[in-house]
Amino acid sequence: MSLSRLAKNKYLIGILLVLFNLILISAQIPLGSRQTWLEKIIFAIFAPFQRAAVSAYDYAAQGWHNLLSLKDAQKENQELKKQIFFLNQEKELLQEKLRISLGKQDLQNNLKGLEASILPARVIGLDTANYFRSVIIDRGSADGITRNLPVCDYYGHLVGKTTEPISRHEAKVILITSEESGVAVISARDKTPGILTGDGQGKCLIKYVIASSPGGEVGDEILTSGYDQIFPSGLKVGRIISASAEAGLFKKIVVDPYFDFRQIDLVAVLKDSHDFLR
Amino acid sequence: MRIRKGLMLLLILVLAFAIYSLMSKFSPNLLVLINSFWVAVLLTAITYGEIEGAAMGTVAGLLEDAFSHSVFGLSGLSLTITGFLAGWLAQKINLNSLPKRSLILFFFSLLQLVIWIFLYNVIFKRGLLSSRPGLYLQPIMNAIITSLLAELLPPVKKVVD
Repeated sequence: MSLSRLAKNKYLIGILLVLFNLILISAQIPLGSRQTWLEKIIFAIFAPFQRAAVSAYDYAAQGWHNLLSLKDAQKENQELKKQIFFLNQEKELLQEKLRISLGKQDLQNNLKGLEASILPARVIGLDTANYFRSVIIDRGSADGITRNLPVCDYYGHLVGKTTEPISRHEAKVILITSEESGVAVISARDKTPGILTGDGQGKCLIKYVIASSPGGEVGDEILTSGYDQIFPSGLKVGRIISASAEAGLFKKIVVDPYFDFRQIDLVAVLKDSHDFLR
Repeated sequence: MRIRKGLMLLLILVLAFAIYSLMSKFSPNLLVLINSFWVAVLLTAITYGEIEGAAMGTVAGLLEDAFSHSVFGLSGLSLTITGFLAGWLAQKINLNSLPKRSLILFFFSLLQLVIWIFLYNVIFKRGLLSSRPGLYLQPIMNAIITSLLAELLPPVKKVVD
């Protein structure tokens, strides 16, 4: 059979396409969470389209919103001025408290350092397979994004960390609710350490807390411990909603994360988390 | 003719990707109910045939995989199989009537979901249907949307031609 006749055989083409996908799956599985080159290339090509689509929508929605809210602008402006006043008061008080423990110069240097380390980013896409696993943000290698940078929501609650693929202007963030995520945490009340991972259904689990340990009670706040050298210590993660010592070596502790899926339009990437780890 | 068909397929793919991007802006729940990539594959398959359906299945599936934290090739495989089978059947039977087309598309959308969930279970050793019951509705939504789009596609094809 000639090559051109083979190319016209639709069943053969169908089988070849299925085989191609099977090869990709078998190449991916040993790599775990790392990506193949083909996946990185597809991500790099299509991520700018996603960014453009979301930006166009945001632009149109913002324009419409501006038009509607013009009449309320003056009232809102006054409210915001009031808020800025109180926030400034709060900032002064907090700076004063910090000045007690740090010299003025040290304090200013530290604050400047922290400000430079925080990179705001917009969420431009969710995971189609399971939206509790990852999101896409509009910052990439050109903005200094690398793997394993902590990501927080608007209120400073931990959301996840950056992971591959990272293109020039877009990157993927693996969420703490993903089964593949791992965060070293402690409970704020009794400092019980553990490893927090996601259940893939919107909640998190703390692993490796010995069943006989008194720590980990319902209502306890969970913070990052910093032991993993990825997440700075003290970031708020969530609150324990159930803890049971089932048959086995370890407790089953379920944590409700603080970050809200519907409110992670804007996130903060902690670019140089060593500043925070110090 | 081939270039026009290629352009049309590219347009369907880009639209599916743009709709996926915008749906995630509106609500994460929409992503559970409607899968624009599946719609693109089924639409291509019933309009153009099994080869185009399978090729669109591979490309759209890999695109879906690249933007999710899943195994690369998982959606690609399930969409390729479904695209090929849907295209093959569409050549054998007449799908001009809307109810009949919707029913056939529902069957293929369900088949795609079954293949995908089966592979997901095999690889990740966990199910998805209990945590995201909205997935049960996905085949119905995909079938209705694809069926309606199939009505609109011929005029668009005429414009492109």
